[in-house]
Amino acid sequence: MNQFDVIIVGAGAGGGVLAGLLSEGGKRVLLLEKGRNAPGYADVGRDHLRNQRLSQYGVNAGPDDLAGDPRVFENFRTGNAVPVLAHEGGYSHNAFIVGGGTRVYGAQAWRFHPLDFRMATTYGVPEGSSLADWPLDYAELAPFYARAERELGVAGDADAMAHLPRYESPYPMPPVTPDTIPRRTLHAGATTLGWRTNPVPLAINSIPYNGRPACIHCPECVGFACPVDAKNGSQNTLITRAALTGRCTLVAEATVSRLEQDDSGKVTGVSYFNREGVPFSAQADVVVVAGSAVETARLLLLSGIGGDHVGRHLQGHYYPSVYGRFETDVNDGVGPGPAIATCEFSHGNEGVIGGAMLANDFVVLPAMFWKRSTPSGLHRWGAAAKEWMRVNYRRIFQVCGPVQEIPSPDSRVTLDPDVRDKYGIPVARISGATHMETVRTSAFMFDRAREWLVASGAVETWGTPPGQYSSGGQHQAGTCRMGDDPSTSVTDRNCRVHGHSNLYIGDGSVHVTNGGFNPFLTIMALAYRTADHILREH
Amino acid sequence: MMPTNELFPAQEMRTLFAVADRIVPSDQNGLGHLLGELAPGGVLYGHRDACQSFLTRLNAESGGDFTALPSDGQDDLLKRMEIIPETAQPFRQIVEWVTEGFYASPVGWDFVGFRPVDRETR
Repeated sequence: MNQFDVIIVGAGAGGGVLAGLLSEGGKRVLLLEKGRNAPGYADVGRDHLRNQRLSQYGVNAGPDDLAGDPRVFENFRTGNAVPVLAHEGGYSHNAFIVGGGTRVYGAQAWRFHPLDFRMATTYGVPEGSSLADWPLDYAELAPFYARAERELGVAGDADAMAHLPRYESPYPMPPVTPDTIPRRTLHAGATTLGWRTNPVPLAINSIPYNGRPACIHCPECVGFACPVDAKNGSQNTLITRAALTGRCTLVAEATVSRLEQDDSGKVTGVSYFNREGVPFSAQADVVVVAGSAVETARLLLLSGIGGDHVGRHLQGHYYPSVYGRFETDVNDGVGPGPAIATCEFSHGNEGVIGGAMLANDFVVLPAMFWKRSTPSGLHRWGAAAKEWMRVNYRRIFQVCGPVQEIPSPDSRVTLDPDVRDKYGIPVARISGATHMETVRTSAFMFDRAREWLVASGAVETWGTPPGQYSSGGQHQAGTCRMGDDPSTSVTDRNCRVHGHSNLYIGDGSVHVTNGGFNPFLTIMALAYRTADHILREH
Repeated sequence: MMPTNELFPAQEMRTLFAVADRIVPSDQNGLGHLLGELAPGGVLYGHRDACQSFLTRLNAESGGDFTALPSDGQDDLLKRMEIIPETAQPFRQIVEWVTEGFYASPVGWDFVGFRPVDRETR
């Protein structure tokens, strides 16, 4: 039996929400996921050298067959293009697993700022960029943010979110990490600077919620599954709800190769390969593509759907990061880590477009700190290097934040003419780079991060502001941007692909701009809204 | 599965252990990661010839046996290897492999005061 009401391609943040709501709304849903299902803590690897944050030798949340799922990375400066695997630079990797990125993320659950939806009106459009307004605004999305926060389970302090319009209702849980040494240290520094701060909202249980326990404050959050399942992803919330209806069929390790259409252009279903490489097809009245910005663009391109803007405006978040070294132990190892943020520089920065939220980072793993984050000039071996780590690993922490990128139409996903995946399907080719204005905003935010650490007592700071590069990765977005005008966008304001009455996008591809915040809550809020629309219209 | 103490001839194996002891003094645990990955099927298997060549060269530069040198003599020689063009890259790679293995293992975690939920080697 291969006829469904809805087929959803991708069981990540957005795909999971749509699966849950559409199943509960009475639809028979086929949820196809390219990665494996890994519901248990031991099902997701915990190697400090093979995870989403440090993929030195591999990845822990898919793809499981690295050589079978290459992409091609084209260096925008030299034009040189090489095949890359998921753990290598240039791949623009997000997870391939049930739950998607939410299976292993750090769960920073931010709403976008109202001005994030109005970037062109607010700042003008820099030459060569594709900065644009969204066709909808914060007020329209607010009720869906509230639903996502309540149903996923977000812990925070709504009264402290001074940069946003007043929340309709409080967060369902108080902040996860009420007090840590980094929090106290940065709070004191912010006070001397006159900056307002707020607890970092996290989709992590601070009290038992939805039948699962509270966070145990381990130091291995971001990049790994949660040992007590206190971290809320789509896999243990909305997808569980979908399964409970009996109307949702989840097929993992299924690679969709094409969206099928009839002669009139109406999408009729999908073709896919199962884990053994056997081809299947399934039909549905409605199809939702939610494979994250790179794979969703790839699928639409493979299917000849969506027009010239498919794949363009690929963006993520530049992450200027500054380490501060203190003269006492400050890295107390109390997880998850992010406890205090400031949104003083999200907007309104003189001479700079946009800005970013800044917060202290997740507890840094020793191996990752050693590989990526020691000050330059430090010797890499011997007794002195070992002693430096013994003393200073506990005397450092990092402040960083997601810079709102100024997108470029040339930062894009196309189909590679030569390289194929294990099923013989053309792979995604990543080319171009984010607009240079992003580098200026990043430099500004780097200085603010350093200012915060110094005001908080750091005796030494270091880091490298990002230079221009092709962004995407874990926060990938933009490749099927929404808009009212079909000549400059891929989907309408309801995330429906222009010209296709029954085809929707359910991931960050639709983001016109990607906010100065982690994007998953916005992806989920949009998915809630799209689900409501589908239930009304189909 | 090849026992990891047979990756290289006996003298090169002793030399590798001695080099690792200079890279992360007084602790051998970084080698678990490196030996495992240099073995057939490991991600560093393709580097084993370059690694063995480096160890052979190191012994030659030591007058026959690196392990016979005193510790500061070993350090001085390794600092020279670090800047000679033909040995710089293999030595720096070995440094990275040994140190990353140390800090990604329970002994390295204990050393810097990192306390994960469970100490099973991943």
